[in-house]
Amino acid sequence: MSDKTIKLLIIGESGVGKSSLIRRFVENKFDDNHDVTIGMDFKSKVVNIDGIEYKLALWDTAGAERFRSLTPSFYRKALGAVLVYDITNRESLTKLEAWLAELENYSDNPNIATIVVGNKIDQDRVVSREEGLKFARKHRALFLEATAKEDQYVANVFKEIVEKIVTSDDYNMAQAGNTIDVNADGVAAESNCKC
Amino acid sequence: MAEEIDDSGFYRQDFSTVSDWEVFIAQLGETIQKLTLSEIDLPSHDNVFHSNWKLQTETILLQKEKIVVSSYVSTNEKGTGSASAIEKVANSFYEDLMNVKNTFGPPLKFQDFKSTHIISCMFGLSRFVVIHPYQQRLSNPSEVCTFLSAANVVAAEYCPLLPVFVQLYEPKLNIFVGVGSNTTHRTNFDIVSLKYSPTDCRYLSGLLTIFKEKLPRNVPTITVSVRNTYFLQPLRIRFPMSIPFRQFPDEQNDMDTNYIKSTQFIALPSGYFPYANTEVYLVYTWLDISENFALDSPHYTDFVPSKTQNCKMHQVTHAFSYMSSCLRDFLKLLCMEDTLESLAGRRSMESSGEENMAKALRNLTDPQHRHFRSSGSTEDNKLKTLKTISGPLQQSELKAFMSFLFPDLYPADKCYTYADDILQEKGEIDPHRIKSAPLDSLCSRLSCLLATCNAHFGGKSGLAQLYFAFIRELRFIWNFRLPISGVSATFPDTRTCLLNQKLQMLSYCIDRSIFGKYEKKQPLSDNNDMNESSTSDASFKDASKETDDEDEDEFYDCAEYAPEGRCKRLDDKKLLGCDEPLYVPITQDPVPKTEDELQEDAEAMLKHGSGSDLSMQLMCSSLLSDMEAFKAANPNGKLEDFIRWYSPRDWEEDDSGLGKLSARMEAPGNTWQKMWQDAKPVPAYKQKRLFDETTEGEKVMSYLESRNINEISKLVIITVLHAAIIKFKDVLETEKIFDIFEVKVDELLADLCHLSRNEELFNEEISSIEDATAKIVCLIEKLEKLEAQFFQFKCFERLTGSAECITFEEVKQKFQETIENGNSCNIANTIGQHIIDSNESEMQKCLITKEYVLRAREELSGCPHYLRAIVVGEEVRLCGAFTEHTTFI
Repeated sequence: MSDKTIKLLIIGESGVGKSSLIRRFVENKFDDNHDVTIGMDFKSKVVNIDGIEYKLALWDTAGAERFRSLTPSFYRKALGAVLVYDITNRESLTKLEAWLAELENYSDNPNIATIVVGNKIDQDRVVSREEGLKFARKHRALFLEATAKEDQYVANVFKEIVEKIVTSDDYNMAQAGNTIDVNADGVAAESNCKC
Repeated sequence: MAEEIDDSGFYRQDFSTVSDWEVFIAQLGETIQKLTLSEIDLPSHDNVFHSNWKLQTETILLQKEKIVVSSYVSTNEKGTGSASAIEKVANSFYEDLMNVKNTFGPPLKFQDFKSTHIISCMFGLSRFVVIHPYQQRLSNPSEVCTFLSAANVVAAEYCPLLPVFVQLYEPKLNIFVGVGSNTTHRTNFDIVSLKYSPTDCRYLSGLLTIFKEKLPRNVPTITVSVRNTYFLQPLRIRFPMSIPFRQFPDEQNDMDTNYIKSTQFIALPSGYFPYANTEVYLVYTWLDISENFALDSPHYTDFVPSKTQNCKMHQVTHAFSYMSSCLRDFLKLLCMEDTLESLAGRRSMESSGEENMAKALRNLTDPQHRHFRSSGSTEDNKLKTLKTISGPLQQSELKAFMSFLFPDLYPADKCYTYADDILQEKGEIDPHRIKSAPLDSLCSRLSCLLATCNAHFGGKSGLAQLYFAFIRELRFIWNFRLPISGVSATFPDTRTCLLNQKLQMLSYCIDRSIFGKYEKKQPLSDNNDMNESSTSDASFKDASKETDDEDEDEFYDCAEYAPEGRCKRLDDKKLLGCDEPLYVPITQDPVPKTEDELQEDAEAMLKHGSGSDLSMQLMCSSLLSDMEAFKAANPNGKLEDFIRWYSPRDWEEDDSGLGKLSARMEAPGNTWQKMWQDAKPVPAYKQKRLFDETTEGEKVMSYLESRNINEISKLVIITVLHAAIIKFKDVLETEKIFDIFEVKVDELLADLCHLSRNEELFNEEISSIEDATAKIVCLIEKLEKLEAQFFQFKCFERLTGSAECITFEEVKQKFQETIENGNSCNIANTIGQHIIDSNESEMQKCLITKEYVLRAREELSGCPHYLRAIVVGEEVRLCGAFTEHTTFI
């Protein structure tokens, strides 16, 4: 069903591996020299959470600064955001602040779910896990470290955030819109026949 | 049934000759058993008026007639204790009859009584079965007997201790007879209604006599409960209709005339319909007193208000406001597909477009029109054009509306100037995040006016006329590229509604072309003194030379190879392989889009998938444009230089300071490499424009011009609802009673937020227009309820407020108690005393209903006897339940 589509944004500095995470998750491929994303890219995948199938629409954004003016228009209707940084590069974590501010500014969903992901744990670490955790805590986000190259925890990243989204009140309220009506109708019909 | 004993001793039964009645009994018994067996919860005996009811219905056939059997069980949320519950259930209806808590429910008129069945109100039963023919009534005595005797048999055989009732006559008369049995006793339920009763029956003395005649001997004391209901004169407060921009002839200055005060002007009607009133009922109760305790006869009664502390006031408010009625009227437009032409006339449509368009070019180049707003003569022209729109609105009204929407075009009416803060895009975001328009912006004003027009100025043709006049004004503004006030000239803000975004887009287009034009007229300055305006939104300059400067004025002129379109240096960086500084080029601005356009883009991307030509084109156009601008600004620049500016992370420098492109940039087939090769050195102003304000502005205009009635209403409905709630909130704040309503109003705003963000609301593929309407009606109903409560408060204030001993805070507190308790409050205090005192003289006349409940219980068997009398004027309804011993009949 179309209403089970969940739109996720993948954002973060250039070169932290946003496209690689998506590629690993969707196609289970990895390419050291993946083309640099221009503007936006889009991929989708169906995931199964607790027996329900959700279609994930993954919007990959370009990390390069210059594209920032272009991307906010795609923030609309996103239910979740995956904020990616590179654990071999401290700046990529600090810059996430700016990305979050941008998200705050342009997202039309006040309760957007966020997950902070430290990528490239197959390489030598510069940013400690604690630093990443601290950042995530400060922004009430989920936190996970992963590597797209070695395919560790990549699926978990997407699973975690989708679970977070589908268990949120907001999401369920939006979904309930129709179901509640159906119930109400049922009750009404029932009482009619008794009169 | 016939039983025969066969010769062989074989036991055979023959049912071939049983009567219909017997079959019916068997069916009935089985049905009742089935209905009652499925009861998982035991009935709650606490209070039948405050519990939930579980209703199950079955239909059986008797001689092709449909008979409906319904089982009613009151259920309690709290799980009943197991052991005691079983004990209780053994004699359940005996307990129900004797339960004092079940004596008086809420006074009949005050509540929606769907939940509690009349039988339960009469006898206080928590569990019973009702039988009646489907869509027919029982009045023939023999039929009644058939049913009643069947009920008797069933009650005794199949469901001991479950009263079974048969409905007689018209359902609305609420006449039932019933029976409940156990092994030794039978309780007969009967209801009698007397239109003109003997006087005795209307007083306790007479009722006691009747009751005692029915009782066996040796019944101990009888207990009595009484409830008297007084109906005071309904309170009326006039809040006359007030419609924006319409003067009413001064009505007679009644004392009763009030005006709804508010501080903000929101162009929606206010006031309440003339019949608005609040009914006040005072209810006095004496519970479970002994028969000897009080006297009540035609000559003397002890049941007077001063003799009980158990008194409550109930209020019923009937008040409908013009505002909600206006909203409801507006809602009807959602399914009207009339075009503007059909309502406002085709001729008026044409005259707007082409004629003005022809002038437009001329006007655009004429600098005099820049000062249009201060010239009087053009305004006269405009008035003439307004006149030609046919419709129910008078010219003066239309002019008033237009000067409200476009105050700068009509400088004579200065009073409606937009507040400055609307224009500040970064102003505070609506805390409720409702996707509508900023309050009192052009979009919000227009929305409210459209709704008002529809309700009070000629219906949908009035609305069409107004919308049409609006479009024409807007077309005029667009053709002359005048600034639009009341809309921010920024990128469309997708947190606001689509109409606001469209207006923002138009405003942005106008803004850009104004700045473009201004620059054309200015002498080209060679240096950095360009920025006469500090607006950072100033568009890229299509006709500017390289001196144009977007943000900072830092400028170094050291062209060697005719560089063009330089903006500033990039720090101290130099081009690779030469000593030239690296310049950041002037680039084209990003392209603003409204949400419907974004949606189209996103859908196109979804459809064609990533990497398709379309999405590449969509995404690469701005990269290519930037590359070309970079090449123009840095004739000796290489891709590496571009990357250093554009995507610094793809430029890797080692410790020695030597750098190279990242592996991914160097990878064969890299899009950037390819694109760099294709890019020609072209400064931004010579490039094909990514955003053409003329086309985009024209698109907005034609979008607005081509709407029909239902599309217009969809565009503005959320904004109208938002404004209505804010208006109501403002009234409450002015009256200083917002605290009472705060939670409810916030709920309403939260609902609206939800509605406004529901993408499916008006998506006809997913939900029908009826569904959307139903959801909105639900919201309006809540608002109506709150508006009625506001009216009720004003009445309440009047009822209590004139007493000196009561403060405004106490009144508020009492009112809040009333609201929270289903419009009733206890009045055994100062406020109550005040109300009674001020109505003392008429009290006796106001007594509308007396209810008596008489109970007695036999000591040994515990058999209950019960009589309820409801006295309304001369009419008396008697409901009796008397128990007899079956063994000795």
